[in-house]
Parts: sequence; structure tokens; C-alpha cells
Amino acid sequence: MLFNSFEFIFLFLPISIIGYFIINHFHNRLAKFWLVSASLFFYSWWNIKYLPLILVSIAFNYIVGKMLNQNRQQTSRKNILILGLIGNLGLLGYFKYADFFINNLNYVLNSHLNLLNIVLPLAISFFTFQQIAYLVDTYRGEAKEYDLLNYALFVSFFPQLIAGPIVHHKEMMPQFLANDNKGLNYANLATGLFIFFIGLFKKVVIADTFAVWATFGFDVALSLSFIEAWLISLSYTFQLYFDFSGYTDMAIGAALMLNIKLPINFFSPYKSLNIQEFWRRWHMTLSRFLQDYVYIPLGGNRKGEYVTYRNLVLTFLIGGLWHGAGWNFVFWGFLHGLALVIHRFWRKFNINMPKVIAWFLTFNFVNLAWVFFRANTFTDALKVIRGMLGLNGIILPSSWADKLAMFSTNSFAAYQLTDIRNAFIFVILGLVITLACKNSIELKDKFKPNILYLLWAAILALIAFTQLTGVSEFLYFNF
Amino acid sequence: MTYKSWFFSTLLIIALPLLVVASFNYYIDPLWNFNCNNKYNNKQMPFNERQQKTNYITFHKFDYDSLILGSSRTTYIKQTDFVGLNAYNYAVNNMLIDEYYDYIEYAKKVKGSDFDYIIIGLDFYASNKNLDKEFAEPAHYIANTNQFGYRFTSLISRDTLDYAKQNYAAALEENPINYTYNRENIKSLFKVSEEESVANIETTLNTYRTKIYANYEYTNVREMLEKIKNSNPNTRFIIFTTPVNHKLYNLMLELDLSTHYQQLINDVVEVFGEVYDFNYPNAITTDDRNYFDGSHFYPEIGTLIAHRISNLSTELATDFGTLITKVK
Repeated sequence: MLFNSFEFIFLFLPISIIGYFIINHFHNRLAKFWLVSASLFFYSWWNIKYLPLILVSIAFNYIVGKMLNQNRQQTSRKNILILGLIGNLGLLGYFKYADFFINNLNYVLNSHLNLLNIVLPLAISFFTFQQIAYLVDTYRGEAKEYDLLNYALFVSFFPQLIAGPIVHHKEMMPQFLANDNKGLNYANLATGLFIFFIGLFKKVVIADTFAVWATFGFDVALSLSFIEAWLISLSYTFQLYFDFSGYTDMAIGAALMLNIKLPINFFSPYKSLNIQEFWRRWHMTLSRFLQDYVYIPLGGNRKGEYVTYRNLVLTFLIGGLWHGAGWNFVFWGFLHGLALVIHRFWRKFNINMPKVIAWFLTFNFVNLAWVFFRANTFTDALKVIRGMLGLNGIILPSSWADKLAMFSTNSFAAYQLTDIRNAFIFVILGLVITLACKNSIELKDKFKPNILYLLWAAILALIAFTQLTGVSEFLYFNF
Repeated sequence: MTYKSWFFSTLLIIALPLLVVASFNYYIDPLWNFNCNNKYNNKQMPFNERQQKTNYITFHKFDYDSLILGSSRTTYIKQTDFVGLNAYNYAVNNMLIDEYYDYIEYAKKVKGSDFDYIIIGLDFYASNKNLDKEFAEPAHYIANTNQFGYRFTSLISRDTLDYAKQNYAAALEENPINYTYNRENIKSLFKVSEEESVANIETTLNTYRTKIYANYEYTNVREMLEKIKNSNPNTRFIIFTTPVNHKLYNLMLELDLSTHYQQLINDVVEVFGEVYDFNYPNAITTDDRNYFDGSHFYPEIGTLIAHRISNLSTELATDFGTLITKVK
């Protein structure tokens, strides 16, 4: 079920919330069972055949976690952890990377092994990473869970199940167990509703508008002129941000209505002045995971300069691969790893770059790297990059010909991107919103129950509701 | 203001405008999801016939014994003109041959049984393998219609509201509006002057010369038709060729495509045993006044086609329509 669907907004969410609080009034454990059942129903809505997979995954990790908790011997605990990691990575590897691996094997060995054509189960990357973190935390003695219902709720809690934020057991379970959270809380309900509507608006109105231009430029157009290529790459840069951060806002809002505070996942990433700051503001719970469970175990920055650089690149190669089974994702990860290495190297010189230049470099690097992230093939990526570099010529819209008569007539032509004026306006608006406006977390924290916020929420919701008809998919669902 | 009052006030403020939008959309019903017929919605813009007709079939009583399929040319034939049959006209703009199967299967599924008759208005241009597909596959529209709560969720859509406003404005117009459907699935096509008709025909010729016939390659019509025939063993098929203006017919000859037209006729006869051919120079096709443009005849010509197929005498044009059968 999608957050931006009628069935979620008008049926599933209200019924889940009302049911949860009514049942919680009488029986806490039954209320948790209600929430788990609702979450599994939410998960199965798209395709019930995925349900056994998540159930098996939950059961496996619960058992491994319990074994870790019950076992005191360090060697056995390590073996149990390795078994758990192999189980999780094996599941992810089979469902997400098997065909990618076979494809590459065929290419290298010139063989013709048949592809398995496995359909990627919904949210497998998210719930697998979350449970890997749980097992490692348990191994480190930072998490303990003996109750299957609690564990199932931690993994399946519907607001974060499909696309994060990737949560830790230690930050979720105390909230589910706290007595204060068991009753209806109108402050949370109102604040949650407010941020949910902000997220819905970001996804349905803003991201889906950018999506039209990005899809045309990446998937349809054969070549792109300079201005078109920049508008298209920027369209995707904003589409991805508003799409994913909008989804996260809705997740935070839905959870808050159930008195659960999910961690922040985005904090104005396009305001970043360097690439390290970007990763502290973009998909923050993934960055946290990669840092805690990949970068630091690899040695982090404790083993000298060059090993640190290697660890950074390796971490981001894994981060890239996590996003998708394709070399374009790996290359995107490599670019970010490399940028972090360069940033770290630059810091040694203690030279303070002017903020405007720092922002400009960071934003444009991120924008350029997204091209590889979005393109289906390297050829598509290079098509956009070529356009951005002006290698297909700098062509101005033919409608400007009269106003800019000093240029040669060869400089004007009709654009493939028919809606170029609106694309331009939206890109400017995207820049203004992401750079000059408060982000949704800041807005949530400032929220007051007054008429101004009421009108604001109502207008955002009304515009979004009336544009819900063509329900589109969230970009991060495939990861 | 307390959090509680804010919460409920916000929901109320959102619900009221949505209720107004939904009521208006229901009353005008531009997506043909409901059975609300009134003087303010008797002009329906055909903004997406595939979706609208699929919606109609899904959400209305659908007990027709016959189904009509074809392109926009066939949309102008009144479903009531086929005497003795209770037919539903499922023809849509630019329907291609490979779409027939899915729409027939869906209509059968909704009806719950086979059709007695399936009538197909076959267009020569649709036998071109290299035509650009301007529309999504039938599965897309069928899936939309059957999406959970579709008919109700579309009530608060801004797109639906835009179409509803257009239909409402059309209904208020004193002058009739062209190309609109009424609530009985009858589509209008108003007469233009002879000069306009000639100009429209010229435009059509140009379009066919430069686009539709420009990259012609005969598609495997027989396979597609056999698939339909085999999946409807209890149904009688009536196939007719849609008559284009003689100038467009001549263009087909000029571009050396007549062998493909023959092939099309042969394939239809091989599969179904017979075909009503209207597409050749005759009293109707050689008179420009019968045409809105080079390929679209007026609804009264559609009536002649239906009557000819229904074996009613057509006094207006005795040479219009010939039944081609297998040589025994």
C-alpha cells in the first residue's frame, strides 16, 4: 500500500490508529498484535506472495537474536552472529543480486547461464538492513528482545516498513512499551497530521511534477541540448529529494499519530557546504547504518590515512550497491566515496572555501552524480552529461529569437521538452524551497495549533488529495 | 485553540470542499462511473474513450448480446442501428487490431457469458505494423477501472473536476457541441460545409501520405483474428471494412498498398468466412459530402452500414457494401 493512495489515507491509516488506541485502552499486548497484523496487511496489499518472506525473515532473526542473548560464550556468539549475517545477506543476495551476478558472470566468461528473473520483494533492503543492525547490536549487548510480538512490531511497524527510516531496536521498543504512549495524544495527532500533509504535498504535487521532465529526459529523448540537459538533471535532483523526503515526512507523521517518534532522515541536504555534510543530512539513517556497521568495522579512520580513504570508498561502493543491482549504482557510490576522500584530503590544508563556492561545488557534484543514479544505462547517463557539458550545442528556445536577435539564427530551435517554461520555473522554485525555506522537521518543531497552521495544512492537503488519482510509485520502493 | 480542536477543525475544513467537488463530479460523471443522467451531463467529452467505455462496462448493467469494436470511424455508428441486436459500441479512437482481444475478453468477463455477435469495423490503416501506439495497453485501463475504490476515489480528482466543468459548460451551450457522447453512448459528428470537408480531406491525405502510410508494413492480421475467433467459439462475427473517402482510397492505390488491402480481405475471409466490404469507390465514398474528413464518415452513413449488415434495404446507395465470401 502506498502512503499516497486513497486506501491508505482514508481507510487504512484511520482504522489502524483508532483500532490501536481503542484496543490499547483495554489490552496493551492485543494492541501490539493489532499493529503487527495491520502492518503485515499493509505489506501484503501489493502482493501477498511477499508475506511469507518477511515472516521467515522476522522469525529467523528473532531466533538468532534470542540465541545471541542466551549464549554467553564469545566464540559461539560470534559464530551465531556470522550465521545471522550470512542468512540476511544470503536472502538479500538471492532476491536482489542473483541476476546481476549471473549477468556479469555471463559477460566475463562469455557464458549463457539463464537468469532467474526474480521479482524483487518489497522493502527487502530496508528490513534486512534493520535486522542486521539488530543482530549486531544484540551481539554488542546493546539490544535484547525475548518477545516475538515485540520483535515483529519492531521490524514490521508500517510507517517505516517500506522505505525507512532504518530504525534501531533501542530507539523504538522503549517507545512502544512506555505507558505515556498508550493513549490518544492530540498534540501528537495534530502534529503528525500536519507533517503527513507536508509530506503528501511534497510527493504528489512537487515530486510527481518533476518526474514528468526527468522521465522524458532520461528515458525518452535521444539527445539533449545544454539547457534541456540541465533542467532534466535538476528535475531529477529535486524529484528524488521531494519524493523520498516527502515519503519520510509521511512516515514520521503516521508514526507520530501512534505516539511513536521516528528518527529524522532528511535535514535540508541541498544546503550542504561539503559532501560530508551532505551525508549527514541525506538519508541520515542509512548513513548512520553504513557508518556503524560498515565503515567503523572496516577500521574507520583508526588505521591511517590511506586505509581511511579505502574504507570510505568501500563503504560507499556498498552503499551504492545497496541502492540497486547495477553498475550505475556502484559507480554513483564510487563517485561519492571519491568525493569524501577528496574532501578529507582538502581538509588537511585548512583552507576555508567561500560558502557560496563550497555550496555550488557540493550541489553540482551531487546533481551530476544523481545522473548515474537515475539513468537506466551508462549510455543514458552519458547522453545527459554530454548535454550538460554543452557537447550537443547550446540551443536557445525559438520563442526567445525575437528578444535575443543579436545571436545567430542557428542558436534557436524548438525544444523537445515541450513544457520548458514550467520546468524552468519549477527548478527555480525547487532551489528556493530547498535552500531558503525551513525543512519539514523544523516546521514540525515550530508547529502550533492555530488558524494559520490550520489553513496551511488544509490547503496542502486539498491540493494533494485532488491530485491523487494517478497514483505513482515512490522511487525508493525498488531499493 | 487546543490540539484537539485544531485536529478536528482541520479535518472538517478539508472535508467540506472535497464533498462539494465529489458531488459535482458525481452529478456530471465525466468518467462514466455512475448512472446519474440529467440535463447538465448529456454532453460528455470523449477525453479518453478507452477508460470511459471500460468504466461504463464495469459499473453499469451490462447485459448486451453484441459488442461493436473498431476505431473512431466506428464510434460514430449508433449501437442502436444494428437492428435486432442489443449491441454495445466499445469502439474507441485509434483502436488497433491487437487491442480487440483484450477488450472482448474483458467485456465477456463483466457480462459473464459469451456474446451472440461481435461486430468489428476493420480499418486498413490498422494493418500497418509500424504505426505509433499512442495509447496504453488495454490492461492499463482495465486495471485502472478495477483499482480499489476507483469510482469513488476519482470523484475528488482535480482532473475529473476539469472534465466535469467542460461537460457542464457544453451542456449549458445553446449550440450543440461536436464529438460529444450522450449518456446512451451515441457520439455526435456535425456536418461541415462542402468546402470545409474538402479541406479536411486534403489534410487527411497529407497525414496518411507523410505518416500513416509512410512506413507501411503488413502486420500479422490473420494470427490476431484467429486468436479472437478461437476464444469465442459460440459467437458469430460480423466484420466490415470502414469506408474511407475515395481520395484516400486512391492514395492507397497510388502508394502501391492495394495488395496489402487484398491480403487483409483474404485474411478476414479465411478466418471468419466472409466480410462486408464498403471500402471501394461507390455512391457513398465518392461523394465528399458524406465525409467530415478523408476517413470519417457521418453517423447517417454509419446507419447505412449497420442497415446493410442487418439486411435492411438501403435505398440511398444500392452499390454501397458488398459481401465477400470464400470461394467454394
